[in-house]
Amino acid sequence: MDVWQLTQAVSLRPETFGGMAFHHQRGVTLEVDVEAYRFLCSYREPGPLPPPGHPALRLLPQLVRLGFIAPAGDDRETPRVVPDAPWLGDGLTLSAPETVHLAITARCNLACSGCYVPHFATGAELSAAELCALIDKWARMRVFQLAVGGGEPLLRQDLFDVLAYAHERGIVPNLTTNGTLLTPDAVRRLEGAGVARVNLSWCGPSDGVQNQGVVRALQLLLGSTLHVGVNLLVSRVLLPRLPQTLARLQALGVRQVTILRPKPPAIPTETNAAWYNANRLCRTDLSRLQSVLNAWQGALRLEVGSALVGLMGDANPTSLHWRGIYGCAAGRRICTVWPDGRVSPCSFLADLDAGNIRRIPFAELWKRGMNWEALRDPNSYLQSGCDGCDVAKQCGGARCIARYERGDLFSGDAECLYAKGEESANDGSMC
Amino acid sequence: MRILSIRRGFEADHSSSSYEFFALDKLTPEQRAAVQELTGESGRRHLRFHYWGERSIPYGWEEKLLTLGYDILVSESYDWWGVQLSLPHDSTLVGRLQQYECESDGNGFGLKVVDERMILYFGMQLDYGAAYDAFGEDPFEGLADLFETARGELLAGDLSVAWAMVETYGGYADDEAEPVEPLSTSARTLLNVMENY
Repeated sequence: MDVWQLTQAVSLRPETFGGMAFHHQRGVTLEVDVEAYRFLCSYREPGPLPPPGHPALRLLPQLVRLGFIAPAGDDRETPRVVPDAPWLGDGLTLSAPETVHLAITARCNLACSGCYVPHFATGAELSAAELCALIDKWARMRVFQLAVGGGEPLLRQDLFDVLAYAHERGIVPNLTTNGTLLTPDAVRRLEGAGVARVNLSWCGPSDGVQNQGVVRALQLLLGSTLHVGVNLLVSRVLLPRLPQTLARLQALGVRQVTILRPKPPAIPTETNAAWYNANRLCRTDLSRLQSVLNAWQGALRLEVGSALVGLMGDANPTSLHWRGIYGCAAGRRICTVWPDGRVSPCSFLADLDAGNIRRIPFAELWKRGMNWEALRDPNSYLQSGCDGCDVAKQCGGARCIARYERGDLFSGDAECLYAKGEESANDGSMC
Repeated sequence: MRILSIRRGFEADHSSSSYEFFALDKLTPEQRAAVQELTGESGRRHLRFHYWGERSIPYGWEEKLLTLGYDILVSESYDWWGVQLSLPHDSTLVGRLQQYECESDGNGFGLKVVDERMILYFGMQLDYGAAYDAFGEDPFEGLADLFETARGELLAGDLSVAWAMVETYGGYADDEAEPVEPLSTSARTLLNVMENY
């Protein structure tokens, strides 16, 4: 009799709606209902396929093709499962972040004018020992991925040890870097540390020197086993040159580009606020951006950053939900841990500080979500300026932009293609 | 027992969404011009869009193209298959079909009236490999052929294909919908595919 089993690359954890399954090697995340979650859990140990007529047989082909269930072989290591999570979330907020964004240092070898890293992040950095202890906690909560950035993370000598520890504890480490410090040895060490994906930040034509460094880094990375992507911050300056930029990236061998838009800093300074005001995209810009993306789709794999759902094409709530697209997930599915241990809902809401993991256990910080109540209120989006939008629940707009524009976290995202009403005076006047 | 969502990860370079529109009668020059204006492309009988990664067809195109001369849309996104049929509006048929509406999370059957057309939606989860097994090398063409037949049956008053959706995805709703017996050949084929894949 054929015996089947969850593959060892899979992590499971229960949620109020059922549960989540994450494939560490493929990076695929499934959300399933209660019955399907029980079915997955039943294959922690090898077992026969369900009998004919069993409803699970409808799911099985997908689960097999996605690599979650396979014939049990010699390799029968037990998959990672959280049997009894202490807190199951509330459906909108997950029991634990899917991904923790770890700003491992605020130090940087560049001085980009739009940098959003807040001043408080320059305090005493979490040590490698503190980070490893934190990773242990995240592993117990079954956090799936770690997105390590900075500052420039390669400035930390112990970076590779931290990444390797996360990998060892079953959390997939990813890295965002400006690339200028990458060397062949660093790339080999990233491979050895189990890093899944490295994203390089590409700032644009005004940063020519930096981009020479990124080109060298790209060439190194594209010759490695790592998954490589480029984070392309599309500012008003870069937008007119976007087709040429995409062509250049394609010529370099890049296949995956993540499109990001300027976002307002949570703690504005004269410099970063001026940069944002000069570079933010208005709706006219977003329409141009969408045209470029439409023209380039197929030639490159283009992703859009959170809360740019309007640029993805189909604003069909069901379709978005099926593809696991949730737009702004700040404080509900992700959070940011700053170098000094503070925890905020995302990098652009740094001032909504829920506490410091040096004083309060991370699980408690996540569960309480102090100062994040509005982000976690299921009615907030529906009462906000996004009310009436078909995909308010799936997208939610960028809360940091709404707050910057109108001082209200739950006003509408004025820089959305589908936003109703007039654009902001500032925004519209510059178009 | 359901998968609620699938989000692809770092090995998703091959993932994509496809949309194929089929016209039973050739589009008129006016219809083609309207399609060209909307999408930048046009085909007298067939139009295909393919989007990589997380991107998908622009908002409103599906509905618009189904009122501009295309009769059948077959779409696939991450193993989620959808077929939409465009038919002339018939209030009696709308009334009869409403009892079979059972669309939930993209699966099942739904209908709406747009610009004097009825647009019927059939959503189902099928593994892509299984779709090949069921419909041959071109599952889009295969599904379009199947639903072309079903469309003819619906216009003739045979609602078998809608009942097949209730049978598969109706859940509690099937108490209220009138069963259709005997099922048409196309509905039996569809039911077989949905139950076995």
